[in-house]
Amino acid sequence: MLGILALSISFIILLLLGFPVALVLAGSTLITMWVLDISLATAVPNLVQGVNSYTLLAVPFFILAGQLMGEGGLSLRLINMAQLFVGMIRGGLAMVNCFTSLLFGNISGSAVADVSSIGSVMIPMMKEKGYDSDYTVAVTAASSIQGVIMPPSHNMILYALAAGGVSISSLFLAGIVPAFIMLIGLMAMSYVIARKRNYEKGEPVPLKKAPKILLDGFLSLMTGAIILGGIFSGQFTATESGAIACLYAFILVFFVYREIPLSRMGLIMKKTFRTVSMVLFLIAASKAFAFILAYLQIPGMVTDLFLMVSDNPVVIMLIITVLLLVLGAPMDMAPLILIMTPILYPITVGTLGMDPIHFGIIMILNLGIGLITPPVGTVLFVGCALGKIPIEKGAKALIPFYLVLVAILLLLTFVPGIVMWLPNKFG
Amino acid sequence: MYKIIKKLALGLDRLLEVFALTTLSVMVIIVTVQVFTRTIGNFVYFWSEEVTLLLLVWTAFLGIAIGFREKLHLSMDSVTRRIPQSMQKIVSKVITITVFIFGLYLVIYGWQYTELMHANTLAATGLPRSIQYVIVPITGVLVCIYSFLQIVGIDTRRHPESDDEEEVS
Amino acid sequence: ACGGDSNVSQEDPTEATDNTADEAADNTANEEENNEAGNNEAEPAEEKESYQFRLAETHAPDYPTTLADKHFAELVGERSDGRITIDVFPSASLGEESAVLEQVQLGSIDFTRTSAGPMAEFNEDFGVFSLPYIFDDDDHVWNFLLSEHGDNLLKSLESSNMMGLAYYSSGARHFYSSEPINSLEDLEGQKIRVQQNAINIDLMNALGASATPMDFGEVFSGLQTGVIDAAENNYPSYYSTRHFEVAPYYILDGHQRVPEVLVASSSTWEILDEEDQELIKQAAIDSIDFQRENWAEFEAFAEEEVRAAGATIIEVDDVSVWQEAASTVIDEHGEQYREVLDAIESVR
Ligand code: NA
Ligand code: NA
Repeated sequence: MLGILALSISFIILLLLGFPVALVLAGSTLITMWVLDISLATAVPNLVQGVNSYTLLAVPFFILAGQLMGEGGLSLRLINMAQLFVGMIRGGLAMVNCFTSLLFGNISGSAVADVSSIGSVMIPMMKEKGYDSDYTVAVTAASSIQGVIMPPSHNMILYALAAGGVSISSLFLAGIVPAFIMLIGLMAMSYVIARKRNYEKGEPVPLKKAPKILLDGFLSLMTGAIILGGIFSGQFTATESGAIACLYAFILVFFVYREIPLSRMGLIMKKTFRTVSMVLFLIAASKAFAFILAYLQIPGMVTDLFLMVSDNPVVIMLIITVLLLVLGAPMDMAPLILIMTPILYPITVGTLGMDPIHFGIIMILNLGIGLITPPVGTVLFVGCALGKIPIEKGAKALIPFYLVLVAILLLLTFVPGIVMWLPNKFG
Repeated sequence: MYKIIKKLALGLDRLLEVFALTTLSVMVIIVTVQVFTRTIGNFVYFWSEEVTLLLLVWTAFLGIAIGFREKLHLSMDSVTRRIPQSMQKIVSKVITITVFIFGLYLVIYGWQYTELMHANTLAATGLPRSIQYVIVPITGVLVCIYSFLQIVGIDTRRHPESDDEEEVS
Repeated sequence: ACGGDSNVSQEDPTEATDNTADEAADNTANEEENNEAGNNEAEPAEEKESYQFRLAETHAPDYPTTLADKHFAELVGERSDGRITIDVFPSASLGEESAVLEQVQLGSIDFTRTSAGPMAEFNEDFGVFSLPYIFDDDDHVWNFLLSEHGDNLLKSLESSNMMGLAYYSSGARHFYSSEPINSLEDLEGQKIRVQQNAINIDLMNALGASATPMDFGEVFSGLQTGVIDAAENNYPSYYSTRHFEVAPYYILDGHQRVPEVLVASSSTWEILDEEDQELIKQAAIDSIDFQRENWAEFEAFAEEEVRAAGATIIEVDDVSVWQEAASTVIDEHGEQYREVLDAIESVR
């Protein structure tokens, strides 16, 4: 009991005092070890082993590839391509926005990269066409959540690491159908609001421009195709696909598009390293935290606690959904995946017998919604900053989209077949 | 005096950055080469996995130090933002001092563990296991240096201008 | 559930470790001193100390090795009248084998069940088990393990801050692949996932295959997509990982027979008095038969299941051909294990 008390109190205090989250995890672990008289050296191997994983390599690789594509003028090409397909519908630019996010999500693994690179182009573009600021921000932010579900996604890799032994390629496959369901849901909601607010009816793109647009967009989308195609045709593993994506992006940006000089590579690497540093420290620290959780047998207690409340799987899943949504409001996605997976995995996969792939997708979508909920939502923040509106206004405009996303979340939770269809079919 | 310290710190920063970016690039290169040797030459260098992982561990730990230097590591400031300025200053001092203590921890226990692991080996290359761990005390020293500089009021951030950073999510 | 008892067992080694931050080598001596001092203060009466220990296991809760761990823990609990409890942590919740072994050396994990394979990273002598085709069958393995030489090998762990308690069964490792492998020739050019160590890599080369590194969790999809052509493991793991679904050809070459080892941390061992040490050691030895029976049952069950699922089991008529092909590995690595190899030969 002493250990649990020490862990939870130190965790909460350090977190509220605004310590870096990774330091909160490492710090509360060390304090607990000190209280329990466990050798403090125990945390050292856990910190190191946390990042000593071949699977984890894909994370810096995907971040580098995303950074390269983002800097290399990719988003504009994707927007042009999306305009060709859905630009003529009412609220056309909103549709383009949603569709571009899905395409971008197939290249990058990050919703924040998505919202910042697409938002910086599309938000001003939409405003110019007479869309309200809050609507543009809401559409951009909500649709970028597709990026965490649409493969590749480094959040899936974090989950696979935390769960242990879950296949990344299966997670990648499992994300595709839910991402398209999200696209349909978000486009439908955007359309309903666009009608209500009577936004413009988009103009179709002149057909003679189509070949150039398609070729340009095609080369960008090839990144995603190479990643997924390479993995599923057995050319390389999910980890290796990250390195290949870097190679392809490098060639595309510096030798085909040539919008930025090769000398920018240094800066791109630096920016990548900044993001990578944050993620890797979090992973290292959360490994030590997971060790102390297991050592104190907390996951088992949480399972017992849930079973005390109810032994009905539907009720338990609803509680878990609400719990993750609530936790996702004040906290960021990566640390939550790393902290909550070892706690919830024994009950969902162990006791309820959920497929680890299914649970992973549910958890990632759930925490993805947290990225656009106040008080802490990185995607919401970036979106509001780009649209120059207060956070409250952005959050209010997002309400209808929250409803859509939560409805999809519940659908995917209770109809596992949707998520498992592709991985099962492939297997 | 401050000027000399600052100059030394800048030199160290440069060295670190070059080293970290090199490890990052070498990882990409090794893994890419591995894909090609396997698909074309039907072989894989026996050291490729272990060396790449070693580089990943090193990159990650240098990242911890650089992250503290640049104040990159994500935190939850929704509570501290609402308290008075004077309190905020105190809290941020406390955090910096804690970071220093964390650095000390990495130096002392990291070194102790490195020594303990010296007799063990890595499976493929047969290198001593301590090579995986020696980066921990090194990172500790760096963390101590940077947090010390911050405590005495020297801004250690070298890239404050690129704050429009894309973060992880 | 995780109350104060654990403190008793953890207290003394910790203090010792703290004090000797600079000289890890002196740990042992100091621990004993501190421990005695602590005991004298806390235990004036005759009543014996209670302990709560942790045993790290990487396999699932229902796997034969985990069941044996639990059986061992039960025996210890019964024989000490509940004074010594050992909690089993399955499913790698305290970490993977190598990482756990490190912490057993450190003393923060008290017991673990590990494969003799990764043990070689901590004690060179254990590398002998990775040498190919050195055992004829399971009886041969156990003749060796239960011999004086097997016991000496366990004892040699003391120099690595560990206390070897007992061996467990782990069957034989065979190759499995997505395309039929009927003979040694079929192995030519195959990309095979093995645990990356020098002997394994040389073995793959000697058999004409190429060793491909891959995280264990990726092997299923690796076989499915064709990044790798084959992998290798024993029957129970072939079954429990469901790799037979994507690699349905299992060729019984039995290239390695790598036993499991149950070990205690020296730091934990040293806080126990001789009587408790004897009690635990005996419980470990008495759990061997239970584990071997369970293992055999599970092996048979696994075989039945994979056969029922349509996997093709291929017998090897003449293993000496394989043995011959792999002999270069023994030439290369065998010298340092000469004595042990002779001992293995002598109990054939
Ligand atoms: Na994505
Ligand atoms: Na949030």
